[in-house]
Amino acid sequence: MKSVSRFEANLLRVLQSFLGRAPARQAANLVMRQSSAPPCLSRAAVELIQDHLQKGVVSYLAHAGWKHERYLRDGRVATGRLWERTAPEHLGLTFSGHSLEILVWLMTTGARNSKPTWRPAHGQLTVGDRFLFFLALHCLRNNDEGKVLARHGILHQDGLIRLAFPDLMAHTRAATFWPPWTTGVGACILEALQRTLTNRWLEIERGKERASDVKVLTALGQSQDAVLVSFAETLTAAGRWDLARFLLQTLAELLRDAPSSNRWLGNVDLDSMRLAARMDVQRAALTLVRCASTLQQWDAQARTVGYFDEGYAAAQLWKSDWESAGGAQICQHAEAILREIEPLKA
Amino acid sequence: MSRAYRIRVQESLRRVITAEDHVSTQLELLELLPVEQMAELLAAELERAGFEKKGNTLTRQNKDVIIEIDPKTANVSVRVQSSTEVEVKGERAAILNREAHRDQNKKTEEATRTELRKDLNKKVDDKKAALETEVTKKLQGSLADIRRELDQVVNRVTAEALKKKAAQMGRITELSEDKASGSLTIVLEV
Repeated sequence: MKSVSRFEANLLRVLQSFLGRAPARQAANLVMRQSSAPPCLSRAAVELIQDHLQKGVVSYLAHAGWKHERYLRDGRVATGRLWERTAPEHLGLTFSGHSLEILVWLMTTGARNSKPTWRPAHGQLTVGDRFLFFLALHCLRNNDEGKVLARHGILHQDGLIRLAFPDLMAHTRAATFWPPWTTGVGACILEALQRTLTNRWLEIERGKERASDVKVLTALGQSQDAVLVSFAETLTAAGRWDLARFLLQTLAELLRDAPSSNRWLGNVDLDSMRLAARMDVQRAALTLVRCASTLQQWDAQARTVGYFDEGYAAAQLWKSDWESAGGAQICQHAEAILREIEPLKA
Repeated sequence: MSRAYRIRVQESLRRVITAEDHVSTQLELLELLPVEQMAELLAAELERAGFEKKGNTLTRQNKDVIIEIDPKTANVSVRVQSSTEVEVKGERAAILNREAHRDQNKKTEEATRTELRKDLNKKVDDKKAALETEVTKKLQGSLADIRRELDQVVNRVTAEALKKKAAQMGRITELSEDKASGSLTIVLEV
């Protein structure tokens, strides 16, 4: 039986929430509450945190990546569950001391300050540290604490964070850093998170139905546009279009019943706006729908890749994803929606 | 007992107010020929439709409505700009006290004048908002005709591009064009 201090016990409960083993509300009630952190954690607490991370992260990813799916490995298609597509020994995650710092910092009221004292150098963070930050934001995203956390520029450049939370980081202009997520274990995590990302983007897009603030809606659209453009360029360069499968799935679900553009514009009063401003808002709100044309270009490009060409497997996999998601129909609906907002198009 | 008297403060404000609104989009041209050739065809067709070349763009102005098209990128921008001079006048009354200090009365008068100026500025802002609404309506009203005209231009450019493409592929033996329906039939001997 290990004994820990109250601060450490709360920290462990927060970590359990981040790992999906306790309600998110529990973490929201505990984080950013302590006036100060102890100078160091006890050996027992550190061991428990290590144990939670070892078992919890594996369990989290196993629950996310258990499905038999097809993804690329070194230019070839690998089929199976996440741990079948990549040998478990290559799926190891490293958590540096920054993970502990993140957790301790999150427990203190200092995390509410506009200028965080904790600011690690970008290159020092491991994929594990970044993933822990993702888990924290994912857990707290619907609470004020999540919004406070997202305000800090600590991981504004991180690809996964930007991809999963464009709504929480609507005002950031930082360039996105993708390398940890398009190769190695980071790419495997991105594969496992495809359903999570689909749900996140559906949540964001459906939230636009209730939008009433033009500035918020425009900023969100611009944030989505920035991350999508950068993500698409990165995937093309890395030859990993398969990592954008969640975009196809999101679009397929959103456009299934051929909705009109009004669904994305909520209660925004467009009639009182200038046409130029109106179009800016409409275009920003429909950023994801516009992204369908990029996916279509990939499909067109994939169709030109021959059997003996480089990237044949990637092209075949994308064509298969495209067809199973009903890509042609997605594009047809997307074009109809975009046509609605273009005043010069019949 | 204080002896009050009433003064009237008058002000007028003359301003030139400008309102602008615009929309921009891209013409849907099929890539039948290389970009430069398509741009040439588009530019020629636009010149026939009364557009004038200004730098890299072709422009046409009809009263306040300005259409600008870049034939290379096929970007279209339709802009309406309007400006007018407005003059607003106003008057406000203030009650001053004969027995009060001169400075205090002056302050009251100044405060009244400031309030009056605020009122006049607000009136100018209202007029500007009205002009902006008018400009937006004018732009909206003109879009249907512009869209129709640009659709026709695009159709003609496409037809021309098709003819050129066909000529590159072989000898055209028959060519029939129905301008009403926009259909074009080309028979080729390859």
